[in-house]
Order: sequence, then structure tokens, then C-alpha cells
Amino acid sequence: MSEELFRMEGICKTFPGVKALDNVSFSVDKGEVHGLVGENGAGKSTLMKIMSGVYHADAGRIFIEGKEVNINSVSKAQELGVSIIFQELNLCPHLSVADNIYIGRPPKKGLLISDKEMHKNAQKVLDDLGIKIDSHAVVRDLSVAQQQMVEIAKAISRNARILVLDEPTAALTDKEIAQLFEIIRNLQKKQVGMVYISHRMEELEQICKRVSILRDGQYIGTRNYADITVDELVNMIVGRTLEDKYPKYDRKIGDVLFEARNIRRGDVVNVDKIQVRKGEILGIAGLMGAGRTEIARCIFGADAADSMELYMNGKPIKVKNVGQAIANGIGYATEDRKFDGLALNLDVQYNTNMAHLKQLSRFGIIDDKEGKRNAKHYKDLLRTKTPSLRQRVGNLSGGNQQKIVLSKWLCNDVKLLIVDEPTRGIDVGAKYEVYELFNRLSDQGVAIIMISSDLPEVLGMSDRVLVVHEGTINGELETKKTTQEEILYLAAGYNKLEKKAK
Amino acid sequence: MKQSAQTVESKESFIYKFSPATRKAMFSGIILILMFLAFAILKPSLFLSSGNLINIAQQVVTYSIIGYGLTFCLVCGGTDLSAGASMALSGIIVTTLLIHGVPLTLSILIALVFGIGMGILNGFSIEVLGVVPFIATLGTQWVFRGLANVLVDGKPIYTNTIPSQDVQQAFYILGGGRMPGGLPYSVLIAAGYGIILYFVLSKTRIGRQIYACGSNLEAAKLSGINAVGTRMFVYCVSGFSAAICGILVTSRISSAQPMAGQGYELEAIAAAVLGGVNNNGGEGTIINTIIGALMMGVLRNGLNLMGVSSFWQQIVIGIILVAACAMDVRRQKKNK
Repeated sequence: MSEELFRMEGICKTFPGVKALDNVSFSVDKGEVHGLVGENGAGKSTLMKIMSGVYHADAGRIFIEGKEVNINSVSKAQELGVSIIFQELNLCPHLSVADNIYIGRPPKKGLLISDKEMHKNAQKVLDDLGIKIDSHAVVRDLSVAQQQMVEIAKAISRNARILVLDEPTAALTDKEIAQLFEIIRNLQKKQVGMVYISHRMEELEQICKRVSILRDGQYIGTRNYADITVDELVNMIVGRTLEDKYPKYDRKIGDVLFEARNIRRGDVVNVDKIQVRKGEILGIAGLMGAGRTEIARCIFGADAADSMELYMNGKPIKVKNVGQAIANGIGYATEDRKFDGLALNLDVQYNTNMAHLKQLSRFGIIDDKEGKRNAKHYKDLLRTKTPSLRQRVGNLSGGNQQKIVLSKWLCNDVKLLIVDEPTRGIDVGAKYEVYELFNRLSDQGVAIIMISSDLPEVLGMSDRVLVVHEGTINGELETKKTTQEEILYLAAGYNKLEKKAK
Repeated sequence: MKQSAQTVESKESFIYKFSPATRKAMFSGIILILMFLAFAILKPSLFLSSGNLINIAQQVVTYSIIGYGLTFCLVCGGTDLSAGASMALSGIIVTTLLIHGVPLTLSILIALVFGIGMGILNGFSIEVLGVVPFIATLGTQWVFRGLANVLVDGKPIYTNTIPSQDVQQAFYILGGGRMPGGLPYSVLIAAGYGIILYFVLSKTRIGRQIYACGSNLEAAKLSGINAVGTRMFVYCVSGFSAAICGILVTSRISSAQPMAGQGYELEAIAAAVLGGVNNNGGEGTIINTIIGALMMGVLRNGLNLMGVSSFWQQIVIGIILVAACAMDVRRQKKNK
């Protein structure tokens, strides 16, 4: 009955050292919302970028309405009616909604832009989709949800027939999600085909007829949502096999080293208790935006908490700023190396010593010999590959950058190391080295809090897992006795009792 | 095959023995030497005369001292457009005090303290009020300039109205006096001050913090660096440097002008950037700035001797500045 709109066949894409997509095929019908699911790094975003012309596939064919097409550039994709609503929105915040919708192609009257016509047209597009926004509104005054709707309107005004929504609800409230779904249903009536990427099962259930699953760049399959259970779906996402990606290790876990109680910060963080023992790796799992990084920033004194009690070795400690956290032996390797982890245009030696200046200086004067020795020591210890200590860290690979972030904290004799997405964007070999390093640290009695979206990593490396949902701890699990499924349930906001009831 | 790969690697590691700023300093240094040689060949008798070389040195002194302060601001990711006005205000302050019979050393100290105070005011506008450095110091530029005008009712004041002859003499020596060989004391002061600031920026803890803040402020904060204090410090250095410069210039020309130093901050920024200081922060040393100031000085002087009008000089210097930055951008892209 339904007519096929878009089809990809046998798509392959290889990056240096990684097979990002291996023979992936899937199709979208007119007016269909097709769910695309998979873990982080499964290949969803690569697939999307191929659809939108950012990347070019190594092999495979793409058909639109049965005709083979060659999407070799972003403009070509737009011409063919393929549009992507990315998680990071691409709007000009200072301009009006209509300006944004018609950016680059405003209606003209002679040489001048016809504002009147532009607003009229924009308002029509918005109204048609059931979006209740005034075309004169300035984009920066809109909520994230509204901005997303403007993006959708922009795509539709360009005659988009295939729309990819990349985790559109990640930053939305329940009410906003309902509004978004309303718009999606309007789009369905207009025969627009949509690819809907999300981690949230309950949403897929609501609006997707079919789902396709990717795992490690492989196409696992396409199912009618009605025909499968959530358990089956989760199994397809995570896969049964847990390869030997994690170094085996026997940890000697000691007494409680660090405890945090009553961490509250607005409605972002609301944690009663976190406890870590010497030599223990505590995993913190949760969805993106659940408040994991915010908890870490409070503990590290980077954000001021409304209330917080911290104890190191049973003694209360005060952490009001980053300096105090460091003085108390806490280190924090941030989630985004480039944004707040490294000074990219400074060299390896410099970055290694950045949190260590106090110890390296006497009467305010830096001991460069010691600094060099220190940087060399950690470069050798972590086997960082760099042409010299004078190399800019911006020129190093992700894995080597991550090693420098870690050495920055190691040289400070940390007792508690918080690592936020420690292996994001680094290759398998470097990951293994990072894990080995964690094991060595644990052996020396360092407690590690590991925030990670990579569930196999959480299960493979940590001893216990705290699952965060909307700023609170929604459950504590023993790694040995739990499964990825259980973590996903907790992360999605279900608690154990509800799960059993299901 | 293997052989060539190895050579590439060793070549790389040779270049990377030096920091990016040092590499740029070497590059600018070579250009400076070439410029110098060119003028020496074209106009040997005029350009290489000791009088002319001293003349260049004296010019360079002014720009380089203000440039030191701006180097601190630029490396820290900021800027200080008020430096020229701070310089004028300091000159007015020191002269006014001397005319009112305040002892020489005390007058100079007070002017220097006022220089630091102007830096604190800049730092306050930026750190506490949260105004971006460009706008904050643009505002204080007018405040300082206005204050200088208010203090003397817009008219220059002259050091020959200082009551004591001895003080007049002593004050003149500072900026105008020369050593037996003919070398002005102010050149020695600029060199000495430059060495101290070079040391502060490259060998001390606060210096490292300045680089960290300028390169990645978020990373610096998350490394436990006191970013507010560090950034306050650079504006104090800039104010202090402007005050030194104001005192030296006033002493040399025997008068304090409320409109002195106009545009000097821009000349100083140009010198720093020509020498290889990254105007986006995180990169550059005092040596870069000195080389840049020398380049500007030699170029101006050489063009003068060649009979190029000062209007054409402006055009030439403007083109060179843009061209130098364009080359730098290209080099950085290549590095990536």
C-alpha cells in the first residue's frame, strides 16, 4: 500500500583504521517514520552524513522513488529533498524566524528583500505544520524545542521530502515532545518520509512503524515495532557477544575513600549519595543530558552547588573552587578535550604541567628542567606518541590527546580521578591502553569515577554502576550481576520495580 | 622507502624542538635582518651612522615598552586599547607632582602606582563587570584621556616649571640622558625591563597561567588556575608599562602632553603581531614583540631615509601587517 520513497543498498564506509559502515541497507516509505537505533559509535551519524552528502560512501547505491541518485554534496542532497535536523541546531540566533527560514534565498521585490512576503510565506509554512510560532519572533528568544521546529519548517520550505531527525527529543520536556510528535504526524500526512534516531524506546513505540538497528557499523536488521518486544530490540542493539575489549584484572578494593552527600544544583543535579572506595572504578551511566557531567563539575568545584558535603578518607573537605578540589587530590578529565580539556595550541609539555604549576614553581619561578622531566616521564609511562614534547597537542591524534589529559592529572598524585567519556573518539588500540592505565591506577589505590555512555565499557571496566536519570541516581548496580538491558531501563527512567511489573 | 620516511621524521622533530612562537620569532628575525641589510646597502652612510641607529633605538623604546604590556594582554587572550591614554595620564601625573615640589623618586613611584591602578580598573571592567576587553579598554581609553585633559585643562605642561633645577636635570636624564658612548639610558631601561618581563612571562608560574588562560580559558579554569587573578595581572602589567613609557617620553621631550601617545597601543599591537605574537592568545613572547618593534622602527627609519613620505609609509606598513598575518594564517592551516 505504502510507496517506497528512499532506499539505501549495501552502503560501506571506511575511515582510516575503522570500518564505520559495512553493507548497510534500509528504506523509508512515503509518510513513514522509520526508527534508526544503535549505540554510540554504531554508525548512525556516519550513515546520516552519507545521506546528507557530507560524506561519500565507498560502496553502495541510493534510490529516491526508485531512481538511482548520486548524493555527492550537501547542496545536491538538498536539491533531492533530503534534509537533516542535527542535534546542534544551525540557526542564526539574532535573526527572526522568517529570516532563518528563508536564509540565503529571501523573496525579492526588485533589488530589495520583500520582508512582507517573506513573513507571509514563513507564517504559512509554520501554520501548515501546526507550529505555533510568530514568524517575527527572534530565534534566540525561542526555546530549544521551538528552534527545532523552526529548523523543520526551514527544511520543509525547501521542499524536503526526506527528513532525518537526530535525537530530536534529547533536550525536550514531555510537553514539548508531544508538540513535536504532533508536527511529525502533520508531516506524515504530507507524505514526508522521516528517519527518527533516538535512544528512547517509548518514543519509538509511539511514532515509528518500523525500526532498523545498527551495531558496530553492521546492519543488524529491520523490524516492525509491533512484532517485537523491548527486550528483543535491546538485544539487537547491544548484541550478545562482549568481545575481549577490556583487559582482565583483579581489583583490590580498599576502604571508602571518597563520599559525596546531598549534591544539589537547581533542578539539574539532585544526588543523595555517591561513595567510592580505594582502587575501585565506579561507573556512571545515563543518557546524554541526564546530568552526569554536571554532577562531576559540582564535585570538582567547577560549578557552584547549592549544597554539597564531601568527605575524603572520612574527613569532611571543602571544595568551593577547582583549586580546592585539586588540593584535595581530585582530578577531572573532561568530556570534551578540545573545549575544556586541553590548550590545543600549546605544546605537550605545557599541557602536561598545566594543573601542576604550583608544584613546579619555587617563589613563583618555574623549574623547567623538572617540568620537562615530568612531561617526559608521563609521555613514556602512557606511551604517548608525539614527535617531541614541543609538539602542539592540537596536532596529535585523539587517543594521544586523551593520554595528555590523563597525565595532567596523574602528575598531581590524584586520589580520586573523575573521567568523563574517557574513550570517546579514540581508536580501539588507544582505548585498550587507557583501560590498562585505569587498572594500574586502581592498583595504586586511586579511586576512579568513570562517566560513560559506552555501556560495554561501563560493564567491562567498572566494579559498580550508578545510573543517572534527570539529575538523580536512579539505581546502583553490581557490574557482575547486571546487564546492559538493566542499565538502559534505569537510564530511561524506569526503576527496577516497574521493570518487574512489565 | 624506509630511508625517506626516517628523514621526514627527523626533519619534523628538528622543527618541533622549538615552540611555535620561537619559530615565528626566527622567521621575523630573518626578515628584520634582511630589511636591515637592504637599507644598509641602499643608504650605507646615512642608515649606519651611529646617530641614526640611536635614533631608531629611541623610537623603538617607546613602542616596545607599551608593546611588552600588550604582549601580556594578547597572550592572555585580551587586549588593552587604553595603553596610549594611560601613558599620557602617567606623564601628566608625574610632571604635575614634580611641579608641586614632590620629590623625584616619590613622584615616579606614584605615577607607576597610578599606572597599575589604571590596569586594575581595566581588569575590574573586564572581570567583574564582564565587559569584553576590546570594549572595556576602549571605554577606559576615553576616561584616561579625559582625565589627563581635565588635570591640565587640555594644555601641555613643561618640566622647566619644576621649581628645583636639580630635579629638572635629574628627571631629564631618565629619558633624554645618554651614556658616555652615546647610548640613551632609556634604551637600557627598555632592555632591562624587557628582560624582566621576558623572564616573568616565560619562566614563572603566573607566566604559564597567562598562556593557559589565553589558549583555552575553560581548560585553564578546570586546571585550577585562578583565571580572574591572572587576567587582572596582565592589565596591571600593561598599565605599569604604559606608565614607564609615559615617564620616559615626558622626560625626553621635557613636557607632558595630554594628547600624547595617541594610537601607540595600535602601533604596539602591530609590532607584537608582526613579531609573531598570536592575537588570539596563547602564543608569543617578549622577544617576538621586540623583534616586531625593531621591524617597525627599522622600516620607518629606512623609508624616511629613502625619502618615502610618511603617508606612503603608513600604506606600506599597513600592507605589511596584513600580509604578515595572512602568511601566518596560511602556515597554521598547513600545520593542521
